[in-house]
Amino acid sequence: MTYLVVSRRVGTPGEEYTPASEADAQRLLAGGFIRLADKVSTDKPPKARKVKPAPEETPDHGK
Amino acid sequence: MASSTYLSNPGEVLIGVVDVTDQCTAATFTYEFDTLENTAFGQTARTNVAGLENNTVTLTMYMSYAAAETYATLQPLVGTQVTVKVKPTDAAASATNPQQVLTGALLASLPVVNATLGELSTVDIEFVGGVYSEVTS
Repeated sequence: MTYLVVSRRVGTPGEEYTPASEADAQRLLAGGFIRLADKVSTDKPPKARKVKPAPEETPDHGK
Repeated sequence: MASSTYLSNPGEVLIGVVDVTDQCTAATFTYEFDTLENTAFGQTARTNVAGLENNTVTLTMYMSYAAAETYATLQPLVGTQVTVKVKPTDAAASATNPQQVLTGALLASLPVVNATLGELSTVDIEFVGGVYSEVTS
């Protein structure tokens, strides 16, 4: 888990925070002193849908 | 006239890792030993020896229930041991600015509401026990 400082009471806001223990982290999270860092997605972007070209209309030759 | 005085204005009050200096209006950090009497017959005055450390830190703090403020700092600590640090000024710790540290002090109680009409709410809290040390560098 990566935590970021929210309150200047525990550090410089925006900097990464390393808690001494998980219990500390939970207490500080609950109190609004720190927050979880946004999860950076590693998923690949979805592929573009393949669109079949519309069938060409065949000209009517008056048959 | 005193040649050196100190204007009360601690530069750092830490409860655990939380800096509460700007919510604190009074701090008393007492390094103390239990007093054990060892007076015996034949003596003409009582005498004592030191027993166990019996340290305390008392703080007066403005109460605030906002996120990351007094209540959020103290409420989860009731009934637990925590480290409290107080430094006379905000300069670096040194022999003339010794940071006082109480490690493993118990916060046994917290007045969760202390309200008086027309006044800012404050709470007096006391940390008891723990091991005293002084940081000078």
